Amino acid sequence: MLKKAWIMARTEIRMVFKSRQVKMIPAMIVVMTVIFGGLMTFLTLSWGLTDPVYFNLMMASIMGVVIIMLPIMLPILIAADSIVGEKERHTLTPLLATPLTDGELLFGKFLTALIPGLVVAYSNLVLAIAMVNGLVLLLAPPLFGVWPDFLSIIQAIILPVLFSILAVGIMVIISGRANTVYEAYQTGGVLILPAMAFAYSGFLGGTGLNWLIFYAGVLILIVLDIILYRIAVKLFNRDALTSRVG
Amino acid sequence: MTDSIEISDLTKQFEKITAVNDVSLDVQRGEVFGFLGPNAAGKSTTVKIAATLLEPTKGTISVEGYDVLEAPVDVRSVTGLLPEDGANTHYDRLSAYKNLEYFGRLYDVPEEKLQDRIERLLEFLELSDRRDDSPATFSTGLKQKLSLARSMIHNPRVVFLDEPTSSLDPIMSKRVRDFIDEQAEVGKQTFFLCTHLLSEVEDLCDRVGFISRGVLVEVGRPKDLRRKFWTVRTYEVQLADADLSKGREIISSTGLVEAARVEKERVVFEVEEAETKNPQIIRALMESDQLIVEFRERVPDLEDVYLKVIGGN
Repeated sequence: MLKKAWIMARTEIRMVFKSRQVKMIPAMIVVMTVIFGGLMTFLTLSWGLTDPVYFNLMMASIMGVVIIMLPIMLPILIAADSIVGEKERHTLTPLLATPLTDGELLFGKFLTALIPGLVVAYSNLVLAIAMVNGLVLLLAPPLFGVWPDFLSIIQAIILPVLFSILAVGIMVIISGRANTVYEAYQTGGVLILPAMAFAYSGFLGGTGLNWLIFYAGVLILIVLDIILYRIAVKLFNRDALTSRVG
Repeated sequence: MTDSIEISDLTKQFEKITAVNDVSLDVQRGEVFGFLGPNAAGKSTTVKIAATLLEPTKGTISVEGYDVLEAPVDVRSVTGLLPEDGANTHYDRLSAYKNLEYFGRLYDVPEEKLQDRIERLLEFLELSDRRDDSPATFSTGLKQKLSLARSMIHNPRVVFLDEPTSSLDPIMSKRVRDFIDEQAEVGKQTFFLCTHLLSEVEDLCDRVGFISRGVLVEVGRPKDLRRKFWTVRTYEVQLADADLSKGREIISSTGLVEAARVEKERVVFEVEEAETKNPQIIRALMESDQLIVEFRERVPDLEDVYLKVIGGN
């Protein structure tokens, strides 16, 4: 299953990054990270909010947007382009005629959408750490290295994966029913981004950012991811897709 | 020969429209089968079901012993598909070569064989010099050739071709027909061909099936179908005598023919049970000192058969 899915994902990632629209998103994410993350860090430090616990919490909420919310735009767009786009471009029929199982095909689509998003998320993490600590060095040197603490790093590594799977799962379900990439992307954006923001704020809801909340949240996300993937596989219907292709 | 494709009581319904209605048909291994019918007759729907892209409403298809519902992955691994509108089904963001490489890998063609197979197909279809170009820059004919190459990349046992030579020039159409013929003969591949080009079917197909409004109307060898639909056969005789009306009178006077006329320096007559009556007609001409230069049957082509069968439906 992995081999075929990987063949698909490798080729499709190469293809999606030939799209100008997709190429622009990582650039936009980096610019927004620098502007939004930089500005918020600067304001936090300028307002004298330099208590290490408070500063850490502030950064965690800002970086939630930068590392999780913004990069999720990419898998949403790629999933829409990769599934509905194939229908629009009539390339889905020959692909469906290959000996890929439904599971392989969907897993390939998942990887296609997930991998670029995660690369951007982790690159953004490195950029954010460098930028925040650079500003800290200039404006409040004692806070250097306070953010990210160990929990924030673990969060920044694990949460993008789990949130992205959730987003792609929803997109796969939406894409099966949408007729254009734009329609799928729009519906996905409207549904996914607020849900993600709500879920992430739930992580921070305990404010203490303690491990128990983190473990529980991760567990819930894993269960949701599995359920969503199963639903996506179950709802995947070659007949409906081909009938619409015409 | 063993059956390669078995279609049993196949029905496909799209809401209120019955696209395929209770079709049963067998195609033998190594056979080139032509599936003919007007637009929206149910040809492409049948092919899509056989390629596991659509599910039958009733009945089933088995390909090389694999049932489309029970073993769809096995069906897909032994079949190649050139879909309807195949020319527009390529990845424009990949080169022609990469398109074939991608599908070769998805079809599990071993890496050591894949490059060689791609090269051979590109060369045969005269696409080698465009291998690194995007299909977006191709003409419709070139795209169609690439689709054909893609459908053959894994050397499938059964190939479904929906209008394979549409948009190809006559020389390339001939090459493709020869290729199909050779693959069926030597490679023992089965070809299921949907086409509107009756001359193509006549040249290539061992048997043909006519489908109209989802119903399979006739199946048979082109020769047999002609016989079946033309009980009255037409012959033309070229005589040495310049006065052809005399020849026509002799033929008419035998009382054996349905009609006789003079047409383009020949006497043309229509006759039933030609095998028994023609020798008597020839004898009558010879006894009247008419020198026969040429005597031949006007064979109706498949288009005539098609028009008669489909027109009647």
